[in-house]
Amino acid sequence: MRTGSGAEGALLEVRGLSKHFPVRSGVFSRVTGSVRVVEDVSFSVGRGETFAVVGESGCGKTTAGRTILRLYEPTAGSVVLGGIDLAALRGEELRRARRGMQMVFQNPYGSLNPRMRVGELLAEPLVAHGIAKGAGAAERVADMMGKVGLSADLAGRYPHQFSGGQRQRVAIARALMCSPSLVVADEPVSALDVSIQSQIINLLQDLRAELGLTYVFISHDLNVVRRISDSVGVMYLGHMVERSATGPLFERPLHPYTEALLSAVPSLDPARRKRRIILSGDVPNPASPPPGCVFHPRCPKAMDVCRSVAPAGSEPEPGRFVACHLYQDPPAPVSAPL
Amino acid sequence: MSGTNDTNVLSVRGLSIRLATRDGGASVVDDASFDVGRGEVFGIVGESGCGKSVTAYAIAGLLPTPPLRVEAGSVRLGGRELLSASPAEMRSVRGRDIGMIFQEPMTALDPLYTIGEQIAESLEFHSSLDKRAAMEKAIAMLGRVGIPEPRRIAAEYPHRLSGGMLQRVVIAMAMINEPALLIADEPTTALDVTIQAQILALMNDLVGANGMSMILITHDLGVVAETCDRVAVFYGGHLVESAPVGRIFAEPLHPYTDGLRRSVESIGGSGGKLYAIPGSVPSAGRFGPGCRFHDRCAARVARCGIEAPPTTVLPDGRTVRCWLRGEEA
Repeated sequence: MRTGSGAEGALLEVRGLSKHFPVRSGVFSRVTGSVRVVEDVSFSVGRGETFAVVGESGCGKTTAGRTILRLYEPTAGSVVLGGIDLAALRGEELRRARRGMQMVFQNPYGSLNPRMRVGELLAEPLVAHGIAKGAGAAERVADMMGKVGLSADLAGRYPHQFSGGQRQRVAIARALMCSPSLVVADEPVSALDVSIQSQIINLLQDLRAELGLTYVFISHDLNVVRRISDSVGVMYLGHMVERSATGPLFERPLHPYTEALLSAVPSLDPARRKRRIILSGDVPNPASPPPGCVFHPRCPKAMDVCRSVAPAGSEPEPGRFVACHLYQDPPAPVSAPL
Repeated sequence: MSGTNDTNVLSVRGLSIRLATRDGGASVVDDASFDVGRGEVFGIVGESGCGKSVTAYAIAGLLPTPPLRVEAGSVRLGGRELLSASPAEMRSVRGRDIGMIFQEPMTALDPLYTIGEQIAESLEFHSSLDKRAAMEKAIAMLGRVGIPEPRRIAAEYPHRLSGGMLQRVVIAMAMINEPALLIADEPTTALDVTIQAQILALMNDLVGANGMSMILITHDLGVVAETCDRVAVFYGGHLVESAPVGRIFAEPLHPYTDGLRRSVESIGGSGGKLYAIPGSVPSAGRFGPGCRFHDRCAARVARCGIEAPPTTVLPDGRTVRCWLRGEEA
């Protein structure tokens, strides 16, 4: 499998992506500031690979996923999919590019129109993009239902007649109808019961192999991420604080936040519990982030420099990126002890 | 399980709960029995619709009746039968003898009153303290649950606090009268993992320090493994297995417990396909007469689809509700 670090072979290149939302206040709703929900995020994903974006609520992972797909207009940065800069596309060009990138949402109850039969839900993207209609569309629908493990006889049913796991299969099928190359999956198994999660993860893995898909997998569940991704980006308060191939990240996290996040996951294995790092405090409000490194108020390893200077990214090991003063190269100037 | 042991704070026997429906009603919990010992953290684990929350609501006398109704059984708290208690008696039990913590802290808090007022109110209701003394005790309790500047926070309204801080407030409120039993229904599910670690550590400390007992309801096996002394596994309204937490994951007796464990372990492992229990979780009311897990069970025999297995109590006190294990015992 390719590493996805070079521009060659990468299907998706995200460079310096930022998304700021305006804050309005007063009688005239004047823009009085902005919330930097995603700040200068960069990564690339090789064709056929899975890149996971992890972090806690409010870290910007969902906004990052939506901005990549141009569901939100980026404030800055570029998103290049298969050599085409999506941020520069307008109108019909953008519409055509959207065929190649699709999204699967956390909640299949919310993303499927309850008044449409499953067969209609699956045929709709084909008709909308002028790919197929009528009998041709019905044939593709039956074929896709088979691929996601649903009997084609169920095409006449409505979403509420399916279980949660089956509904997520429908949502996945719908995302794949136009043969996209990139699928952004936002917490696709988080709303499902434990015994059903594994079924859907297996399905996503099978489809990736069968259809040559590339995934951006957004999740807060580190066990799932470890299992299915090739590389991982860890986000905290809008910043991607660490990025690495999956194996090394889980074996030896570099950023103190990644370290704490991994250690906080409850485990069945008593040996893993001993090394728990309990972070103090809450995630700060993204509208008023702390100065310096955004993680410093909760960081057990914070130094003086962290409180005032935002760390630039560095690459302490080949292919591993981390934004932390502990790994600055050359080392950040530390005030000498008197 | 020892029936009338005075080290048990809570004793549930043969609890059955039905849901009224247009076509005659459906069984939601069927014949569940368990004990919670003094100072013990007892986990109830299962997937959505398994009856875990409904069981806890029935214990606290909070079952929405109708449509849900306790059909049979007994719930004894410190030797006193709760199922026959009047609504007024249950109001004095809740808050004083049983404290409750829910998944969403905002469901337990009134947005129109300050945090201090709400905690103090529970004290005034159940004790003879005056307003001022109750408020001082509320502020001290906020400090004990790790709220910085408790005096200032006591004067704040709930919307000013983060989810993790609000859950600390709810814990303070549930514990202010030092109840014998704390019932926590998915207390950390709505929280981020780093905040969950804080709250679980806090709850463990408080329960350990006060000799309080706790029922912890969760779908997260990792949380159970880290927090509980003993655990009951529910599936489709049946309590399928109960055992000390160290044993249940090391050597599960029920095929469903085994399947859950293998699912979780395989997600944490590497390579190859994930282990998955086939089929889907049945919805309440769609159960046949047999074992409720039989259609997803790899070990099923002919009898499993026809007749529900009885609960077998093993010599070491573990219980299991499965025909395969019943034969052995």
